[in-house]
Amino acid sequence: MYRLRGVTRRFRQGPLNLAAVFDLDLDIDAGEFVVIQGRSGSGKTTLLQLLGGLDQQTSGTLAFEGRELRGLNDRQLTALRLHAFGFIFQQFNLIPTLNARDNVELALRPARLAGPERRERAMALLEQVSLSDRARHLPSQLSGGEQQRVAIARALANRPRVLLADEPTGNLDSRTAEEIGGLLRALWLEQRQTVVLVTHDRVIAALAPRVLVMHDGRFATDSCSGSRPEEVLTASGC
Amino acid sequence: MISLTYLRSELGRRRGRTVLMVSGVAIGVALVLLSTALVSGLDRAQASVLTPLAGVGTDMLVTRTAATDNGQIPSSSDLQALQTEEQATSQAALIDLSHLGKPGTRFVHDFFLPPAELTFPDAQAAAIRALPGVVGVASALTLVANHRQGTVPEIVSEMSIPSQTVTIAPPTPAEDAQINACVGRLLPRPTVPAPGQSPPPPIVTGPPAGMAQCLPKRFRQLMIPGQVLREVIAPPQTDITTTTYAVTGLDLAVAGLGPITRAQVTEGSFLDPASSSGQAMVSGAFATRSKLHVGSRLTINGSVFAIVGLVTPPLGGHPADVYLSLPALQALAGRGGRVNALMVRADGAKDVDRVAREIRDAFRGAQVTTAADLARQVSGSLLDATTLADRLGVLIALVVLAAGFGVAGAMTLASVGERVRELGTLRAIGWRRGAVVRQVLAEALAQGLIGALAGVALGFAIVWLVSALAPPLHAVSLAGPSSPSPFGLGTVTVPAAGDRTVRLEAIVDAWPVVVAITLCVAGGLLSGAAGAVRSARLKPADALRELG
Repeated sequence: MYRLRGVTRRFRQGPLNLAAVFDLDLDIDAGEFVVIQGRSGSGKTTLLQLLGGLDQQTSGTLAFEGRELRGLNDRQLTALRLHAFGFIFQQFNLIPTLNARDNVELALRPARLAGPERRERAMALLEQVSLSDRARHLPSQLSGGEQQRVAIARALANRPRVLLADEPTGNLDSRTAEEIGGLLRALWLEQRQTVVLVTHDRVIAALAPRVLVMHDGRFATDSCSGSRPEEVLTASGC
Repeated sequence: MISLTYLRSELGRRRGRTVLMVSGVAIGVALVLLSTALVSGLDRAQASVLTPLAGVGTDMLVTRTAATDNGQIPSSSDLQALQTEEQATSQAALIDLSHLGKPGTRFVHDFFLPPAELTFPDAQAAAIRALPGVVGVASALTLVANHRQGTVPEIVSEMSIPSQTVTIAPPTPAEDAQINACVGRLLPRPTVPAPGQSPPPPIVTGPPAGMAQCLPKRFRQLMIPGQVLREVIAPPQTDITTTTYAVTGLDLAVAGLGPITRAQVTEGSFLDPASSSGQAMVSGAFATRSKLHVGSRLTINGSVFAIVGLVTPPLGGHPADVYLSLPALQALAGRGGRVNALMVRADGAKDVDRVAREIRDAFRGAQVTTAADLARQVSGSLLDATTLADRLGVLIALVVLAAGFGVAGAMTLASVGERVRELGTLRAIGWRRGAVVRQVLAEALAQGLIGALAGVALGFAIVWLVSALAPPLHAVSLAGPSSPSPFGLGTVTVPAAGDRTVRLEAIVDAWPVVVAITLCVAGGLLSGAAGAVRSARLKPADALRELG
């Protein structure tokens, strides 16, 4: 699914030219659950942005399903974000004035579904994250975990080929964090949803069969090269 | 693709700002509506007041005046007319009160003053009627009259000189001798009779011719030493009250054309052409002032007129207080066969200027006034209000609107600034750039539209209120009938005749509503533009931005 070779992303910061990500090689296959772990400033968020087409590498090649993302225009990237990527954010990024269902529907809008169909699908998605009884609640009326589940439902709205989660549990207490981690793991296990999750939380990282630890823009360790569910289930030591 | 749910919720989130912006726009729109409604209401009021000639079926007014504004000598035709005026004036015994009765007796009399618009023979009407492009001509005579009543004053002093007897002393002997000698010289010398003839008998024929020369001077001339007789005469302004009114004699031959027509009758009826000689119409204002009504009688110098109708004279023409038939006024004023105004109707509006030129050529000394000229002579609060509404009202309204949208623009921009991560998230979940921009624009547009609708409602409410209160506006015509002052001091204008009060009605037309809504849509888009540009620059990566 992803094939990265020599990917470097440099930021100009005054006279310095810092590399947030430096000379990375990475392959991620469809159906994998990959956690990128590292301290803040290690370059993990930058890597996630590159994977989601939100940012472009300075050098190297980054291909998603064989297509180099850097060469795509805004419209093509938008189409990818709509159909291929599902983003989950640390701050949930829900629209505070819209209730849970309307927030999910917002992601279905560009797909041009008819109103009733859209509503039905939004409800099905909320059902999937066990929030159908909270559909009419505003984000402010939901707990952090519930808000993140709405955000996950939104990310899943257009059946993305990969879920890209940026510190999804960073704003949650440890119990809720495990719950959200478990939800993502269940999606991977039960629906073969490819997940790339960025976190600094070792507990969450432990949920994934494959953990890449980043340090100063490079991978320190790659726990496992194959992390598809069947491999994990067969070779559980990975 | 605009999410109405999101739009609604977003406007709800910034409710305070939305209300502020909407009310700003609404006030602007309401002002636009109000001022345009006032302008069109005033236009209509003006039209009703200022189209006197159109209202009476006339395109132009032909008069003749000796007054020249550039110091030129009046033309010979003017001088002729002036002479005629003078004759008429002397016939009418202008203000010689001694003709009215013995001093001390009461009198009531109407004096017809020489008009500023000189009279001319009625035949001019026929000459103008013959010009090409002229459809109809009606003649009229408008005079200013002084209605005076009071006591006939002692104006003439009657001097009686007592009879005197003068005694002349008899001649002295010396004078006697002198007289005799003188007389003797005058008598024929006696001839010496021949002898035998008897002397002829003396012929006595009385005093000889030239005998008066022989009298001494004191017998010939009686001189009484000079003396001055003084007598105080009572001043003419005893208890005489004078009221001035304008009176017009109407040519009833041409229906629907004249200084006043059936259209201006507000009560009663128009003069009946068949039996107009004893009929009169009066203006509503004059009726109120003189406590007259339809059916009451008006006596002018002994002639009795039944008031058959009340009229509202059009402003700007020659509004009068009293309307009689032309022959009746000519007879009363001693101006038989003379008129001083012709109302001319041209074939079409395009012909007016051409016909006016022709009339000036055909009728020397003529002053041709068109409807456009008359409108310029009207002043008063009506015009002030029109000018104000015209120039200021719309301007203020537009400034308010512009300010409203300026604020709205700043608010939209601020709102986009506050929603960087939110709008970035939309981009991250697959919204196209255009969709985000459209959403932001739609928010501004919605505010503009809500403002427009609220403004239209508010505008209608204010307009309704203005119409309900209906402030009165005055219009004063400078073209009222005038007359040179009888005492030669300037000109007396009849103020009441040319004064009209109209109630202001604000009228909302369809177009200001359309324009206001269009303006709001444009303003909404414009105010959303800055925010839209900013939102277009947003990157999906902004969704990951850390916010404090």
